[in-house]
Amino acid sequence: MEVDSDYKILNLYRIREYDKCLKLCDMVLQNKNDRMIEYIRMRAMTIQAKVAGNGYEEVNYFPTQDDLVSTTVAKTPRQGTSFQRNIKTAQFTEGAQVTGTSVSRSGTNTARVRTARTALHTAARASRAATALAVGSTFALDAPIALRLLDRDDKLFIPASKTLFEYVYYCEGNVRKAMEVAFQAQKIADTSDWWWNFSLARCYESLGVYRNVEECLRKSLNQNKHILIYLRLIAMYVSINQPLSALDVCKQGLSVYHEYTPLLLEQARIHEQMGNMAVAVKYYRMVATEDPSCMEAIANIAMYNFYNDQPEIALRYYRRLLATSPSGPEIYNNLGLCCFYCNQWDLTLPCFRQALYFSVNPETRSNIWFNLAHVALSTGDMALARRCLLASVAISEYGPARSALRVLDIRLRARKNDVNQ
Amino acid sequence: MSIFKIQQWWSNEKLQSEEYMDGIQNESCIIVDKFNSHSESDLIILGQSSLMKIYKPLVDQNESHIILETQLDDVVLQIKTGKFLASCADRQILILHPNSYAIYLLEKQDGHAGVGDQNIITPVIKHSFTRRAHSTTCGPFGNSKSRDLICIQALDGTLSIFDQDTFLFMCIFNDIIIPGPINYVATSDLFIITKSTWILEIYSYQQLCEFSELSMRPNKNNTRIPQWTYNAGEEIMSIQVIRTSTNFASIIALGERHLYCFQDNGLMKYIIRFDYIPICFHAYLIGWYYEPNSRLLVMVTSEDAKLYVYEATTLLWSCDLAHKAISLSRCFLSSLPGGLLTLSNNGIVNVSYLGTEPDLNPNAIPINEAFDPKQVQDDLEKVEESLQKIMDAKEGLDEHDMDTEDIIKIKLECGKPARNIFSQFEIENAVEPLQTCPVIVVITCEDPKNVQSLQITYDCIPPLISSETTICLDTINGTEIVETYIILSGDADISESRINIKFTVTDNMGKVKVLSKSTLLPLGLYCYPLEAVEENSYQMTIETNQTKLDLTEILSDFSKEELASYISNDTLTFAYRTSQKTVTIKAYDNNMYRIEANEVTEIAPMLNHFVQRLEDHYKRIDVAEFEMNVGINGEIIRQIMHKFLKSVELHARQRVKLKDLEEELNVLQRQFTLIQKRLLVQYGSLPPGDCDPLEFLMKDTHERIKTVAHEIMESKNCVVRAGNTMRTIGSLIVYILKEAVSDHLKVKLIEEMLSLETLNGHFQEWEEAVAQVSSYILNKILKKSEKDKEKLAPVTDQDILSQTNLKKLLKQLRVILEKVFFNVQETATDEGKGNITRIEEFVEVI
Repeated sequence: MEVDSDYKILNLYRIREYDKCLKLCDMVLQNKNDRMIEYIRMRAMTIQAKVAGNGYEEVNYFPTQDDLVSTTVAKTPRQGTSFQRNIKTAQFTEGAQVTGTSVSRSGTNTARVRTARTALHTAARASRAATALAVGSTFALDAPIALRLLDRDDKLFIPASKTLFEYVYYCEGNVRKAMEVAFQAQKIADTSDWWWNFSLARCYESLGVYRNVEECLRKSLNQNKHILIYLRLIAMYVSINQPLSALDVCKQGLSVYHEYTPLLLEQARIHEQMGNMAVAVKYYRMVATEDPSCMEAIANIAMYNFYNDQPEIALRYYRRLLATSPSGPEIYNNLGLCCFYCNQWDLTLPCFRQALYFSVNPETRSNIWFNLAHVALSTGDMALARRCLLASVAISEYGPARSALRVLDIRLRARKNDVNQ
Repeated sequence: MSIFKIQQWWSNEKLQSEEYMDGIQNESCIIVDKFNSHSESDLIILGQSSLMKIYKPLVDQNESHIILETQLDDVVLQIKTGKFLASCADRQILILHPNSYAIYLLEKQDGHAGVGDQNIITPVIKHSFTRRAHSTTCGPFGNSKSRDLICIQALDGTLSIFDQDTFLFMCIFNDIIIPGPINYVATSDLFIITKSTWILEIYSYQQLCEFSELSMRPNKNNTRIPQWTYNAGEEIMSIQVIRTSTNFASIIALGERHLYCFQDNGLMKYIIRFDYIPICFHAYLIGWYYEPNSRLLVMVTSEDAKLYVYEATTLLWSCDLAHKAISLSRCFLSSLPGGLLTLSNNGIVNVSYLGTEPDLNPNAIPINEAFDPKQVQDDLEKVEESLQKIMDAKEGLDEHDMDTEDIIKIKLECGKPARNIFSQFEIENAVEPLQTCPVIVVITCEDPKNVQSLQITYDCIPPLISSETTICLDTINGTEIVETYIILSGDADISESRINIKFTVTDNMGKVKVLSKSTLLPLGLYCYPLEAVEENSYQMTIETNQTKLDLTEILSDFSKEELASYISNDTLTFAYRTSQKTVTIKAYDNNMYRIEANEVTEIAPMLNHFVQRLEDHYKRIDVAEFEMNVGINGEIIRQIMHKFLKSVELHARQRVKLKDLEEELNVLQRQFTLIQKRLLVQYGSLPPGDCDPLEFLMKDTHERIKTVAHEIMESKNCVVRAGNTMRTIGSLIVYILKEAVSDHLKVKLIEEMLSLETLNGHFQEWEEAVAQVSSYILNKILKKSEKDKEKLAPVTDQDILSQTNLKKLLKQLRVILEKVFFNVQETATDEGKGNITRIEEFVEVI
């Protein structure tokens, strides 16, 4: 006996089989008009676009550096109140090791976190909605009939408005229209709904109007202390480069949600970006005890231990990561470095070999060769070190390898001169 | 995320016979419960399309696991168990169909003579209704002691309450578009209803009774105030109620990315935020609800087939599920207490348990090819050797390298100037050509294999434009003929009578060589003959050691007939096509020529052209001992110099003007963006603010931007014109220097200092560059006194283009030029001595 297609659609929607659901919806909607199916179709499209455009990540780190934005803060903030740190000194004093970490960092985050970070870094900050549109939707974007015909005096407007808003915002990428929906809904619904203020904040954020974002988020926080609002507030402060305010919000949030992982994680990230690694690690540890599967926390603890001259402990963390996460070049690179500092010579080179085997992008490859040069240098094999550096430079010119190579050449020449004299 | 994998214990995969259709099952199509007839183990009741199957998983593979399989007369939407009949002791099975529900009783009959048991279901109640059903919930509504009542949610969100087979009442909600889960809390007699506004609303059964269509009075204001609500802000996908203490139950709701846990009085216990897409969950209690230390655990499955177990927000366990599950629950089987029951998205029921055997390095594929260090060493040495060979060979290669000139022979030729040959270009680039002239490059290559690729770059100085700036030839076969057009347009002075063409040759070794060729442009491109003009204020004489020639013979670009009508007394006048100014050439005495013009700028290109022509002519007729001398007197030099400095000043002035305009444009542009932004905020504010003043401002700014942009374009033209004038005079000065001053070093120095060819390059500003060089020359080469140095040193805190610095630059230039011209002439006698010191100075410069 055949199950009716509207039940099938409902079931597929409930079990999150959106692709199949959309296919069936399209088929059904060709023959008849059904309000419920149309709304399910809208929801399914929205959720797909949301997933593709990282709409569920409330926090995305990329401080805006737009000169023309009149809402940004002072260019020369007081010491310790912003993310602008002098990285130069660290690079020059610590020398070879530093690159090792920068690799390890980006790499040991989970695949998911990595996409959230890097993909969005490259995408334009301007409109998340728009990026969602660009990345995700392969389906035809013909607006559903309901969206065109639904009047705001319709008694269905209020129940439908949230669905409509998300559809317009994520699928059509039309922030202006989404805001219109939000305003109308706010006007008609007499009760105050935190979600509308929150959504308006999303709109304002994609327009880059940060003052309004803050206002809206604060308003909606007064209505409901939902975790989403805290996360968005933090993200907003981070993106306008006000880490202290962000930390303040973290504290407020933590007083409502005690020891809550997402908030702790944000706090740790902010401290880390500000350079307070020791404090950050404290929070990362808290996250790891709450959620032992959190790759980011474990990777950061490992990195902290590594730079804290405890490579053995770092090694254990990295080995756990290797066991639980999909293996990549960065994890092997870090393992290699740890083995090297633990004097486990027999494992060092195999680890790096694995790293090279897995690496695909030139920057990573170049960095791995650079680290290999470091290993070679400490065994005293200058020729090998030079060769590794050459390989690094050959793969990607923009690493630290170039200057290292120059220094090494000068050294070699000086030594030759000494010998000659 | 975990090293653990779930361990499978039982599956119905082999029992599945029919083909599975997508979307016929959902979370509530499966239920686990215990029945009196099978008291030793839980039974699994599964609805699949219109089939109902009851399983009893066993360890023994040989025994039948399936208790019953029956075809029902309609599609199964949901299965529930409960005590719907007061009279019956055992629990009954409630099956929801789209337009009816049926209650069945499961009975076991012992087989005869121990052959086996027989299980049958007997329908007890069947009731149909008209509104198509979506889901059901049941329980002792209104504290009914004896039996459970049934609540059915229709597809439009309407709730209908039934008692056994009696319809009690119906509630209509008009804010449900997509029906969500509904649930009943037995401890406090509450209904949880999910609305399309993404708000959870909790009503008591009493309230629902009052809302019912039957008791609703038409005049009553039908506002429904729920007991409590929660605005989750996302769609709630499923809800579970679990009794956690004697007085309270916990309500657990799963949204798109969050899991909410409430007490039934509305107190929020916690939220879990997932960073994965959750599909379904199951909450269970360890211990009994009346025990104080019972623990509430929640299992969640994710889209990527992982299982997570949480206690409050803490993650206790996570493992791989091996298949995507759409339903999750716990079952207590006779041989597996506390098994995990999952329904996968292809209809397969699995019973499994959390294994603890870790799978270390599950996804690492190590490279294990063994290698022989000796072999590697050998390979490395081989590579090193060949590398060394290449390094050694490099020096050898350079010697044997064939000269590019040998490989490629290049011939340049200019065609006859004409008007409008090339109208295509004119349309595309919106220039009005005054005259065009074809340039033909003939490249012959004896062995085409020696050349990989060739690039031709045309270097023209406005007002001359080339129709193509670069041409790339990827393959060359024997002879290549490339024809381009040189176009004259605009109204600037002609500053260069030659065209430079650069050839970048990549040979078969990958080496890149650059050849530079230049050719004289035909006079007809930029001049035309005119009636002779006798009176001219500037003149320059050229003295040769040969008898004078007929002017028509020298200027062979024009035919004799063309010039015949204009020539008189060996005097010929030309006018420039761009500026319409005239220049006159006279041949007089026996061996003298004179070039005359009213402006210095007019002399230079004609002088260059004429001298070149003379040389060419004598070369052609093979006169070896041809010499010529350009006679210049001091006065004219002074005048030229004066003109030059004036032109530099003008150029700088024009640049300052351009800079001001650009700055203005910058400001206007910022202003425009700001206004736009404000306007956007106005549009967006509630209610929309008054936009008219801002719109006016925006339009006004736009107008101003347009005007400034036009002015900038004009100003740019002015700069180019001034630059051309400067360049023309500058090149004349350099030419005169070459003629007048025998000290080649100094001439070279001045030529390099003026670096006139950088004028049109966009990478460097002329004044800034020259200021640096001139002050260096002044300080280091000409050894001025300290006082002079101070006087002439540019003010460092200001731009080179600023008033004071520009004055200083002009002064410096004058000092240098005067020094070179006059001091050298005066001290010509002790030149020998001076030369040595100057060479030393030059070494210093380098």
